[in-house]
Amino acid sequence: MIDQGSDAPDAVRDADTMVSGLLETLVADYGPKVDLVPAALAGARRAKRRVRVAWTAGGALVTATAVAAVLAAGATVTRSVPTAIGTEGSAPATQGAVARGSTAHAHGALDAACVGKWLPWTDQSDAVLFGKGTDAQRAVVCTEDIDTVKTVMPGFKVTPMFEPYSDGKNTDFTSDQIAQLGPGLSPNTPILKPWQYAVIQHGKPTYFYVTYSGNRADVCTGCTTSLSQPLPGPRPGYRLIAETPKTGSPVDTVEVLVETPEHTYLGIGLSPMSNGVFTPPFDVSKLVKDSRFLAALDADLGTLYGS
Amino acid sequence: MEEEDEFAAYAAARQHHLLRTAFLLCGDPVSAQDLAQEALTNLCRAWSRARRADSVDAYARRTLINAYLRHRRRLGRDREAQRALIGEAHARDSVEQSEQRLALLAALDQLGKRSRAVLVLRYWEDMSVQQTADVLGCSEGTVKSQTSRALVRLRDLLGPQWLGPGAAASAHSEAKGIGR
Repeated sequence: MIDQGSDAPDAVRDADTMVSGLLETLVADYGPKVDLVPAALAGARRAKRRVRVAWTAGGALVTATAVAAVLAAGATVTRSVPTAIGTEGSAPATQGAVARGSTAHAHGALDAACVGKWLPWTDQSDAVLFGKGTDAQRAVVCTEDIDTVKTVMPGFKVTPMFEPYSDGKNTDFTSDQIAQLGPGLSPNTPILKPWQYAVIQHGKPTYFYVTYSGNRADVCTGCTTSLSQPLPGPRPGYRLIAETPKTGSPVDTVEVLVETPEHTYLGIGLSPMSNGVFTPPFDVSKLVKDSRFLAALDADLGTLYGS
Repeated sequence: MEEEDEFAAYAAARQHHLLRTAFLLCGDPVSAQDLAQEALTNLCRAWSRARRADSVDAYARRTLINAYLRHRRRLGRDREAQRALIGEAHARDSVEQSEQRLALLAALDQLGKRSRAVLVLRYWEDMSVQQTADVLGCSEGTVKSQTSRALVRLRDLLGPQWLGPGAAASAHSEAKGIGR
């Protein structure tokens, strides 16, 4: 039993014991001979696959909904334009310290696919790793990321991942996230996934993501190859510090670990849309060494965290 | 695969305790199995984070409670399943004991979902007021008041022979913030 403390009256202790005893009585012989583990593993794999392919079913819906939401809300959010952040390989080291985040850059239109309901941040699931931010801030970050990837890697299409509200609500959304999303959402409302994108080349999508944490152990657990390479960021202090081992064989994930000037950590990775192995469509290590991409991440952090 | 193996080992060891907790939350074996299954699936999806938590058990418990509170419909309405369980698992009990168990399940069904979760966490999982508040995402004061109301309600429903006069004292001490 739980310690009541010396001040607790005997009657209280007796009642607590009695309630505990009643509950224990109810389950004393309840021991179903079921093994829930195989179904849990299979369910988790299915959910991962479902989230990743969801974009194919409703991309047009996202766009239409997003535009309607902007018009209805009279949104006035602005974004930074990648070309205003810096030129590849020549970004001044002090530029980002002066003007980072969405409001300091030239203003442009948001990507319609980035405007809508974003899955809220919570510390109760893996959502903790995909960063904070309001719907408006997320729209800015998403637009910035998409524009940058398109600029740095011509030939790739990029679109944010999403999951229909009812699917997420019945599976992986926490009660905290559902409360934050608020009432009145239709089952088909696309809930956009922060910092998670489909990059598409020749019609073939790949899952592309960014994770963030102040704790190195939280990000890129598969990054076992240690590195220490200064990166050409808009501010000094960005370093590539680890990556997944390069085996030359198909793998299920490729990821790199970047340390920021504030000694926080970004994991940038690629994996296939469905379970299994894949051949990465581009080199993530090379991508993070491009100053334009790093400048976009720097601006993202400025927008989301003000750091 | 290493993470999956790690999850599988943990889940195999703890699934029956989770099932029992789920049963106390739902009140029937069918819903309990569904709930525990959902919680384990969600735990598996979040395993990379859960495995680094201060307490994996606490993380798993929170996952279970989240799944329970998320369901819009009330669980535990399957009287036939309840009776089947009581009949099967307690075949050696007397009729009176079986009826007492059914009465207790019925009384728990009369509580709100959060009140029921508070009772299960505190009296089955042996969690403190603070730990319970953390899991439910509410204040310690809310936990105390819900515990108090739930105990009074149970005593009203079951009668003093089940929850003796001490239950009133316990409820009173909860409301006053005495004890754990």
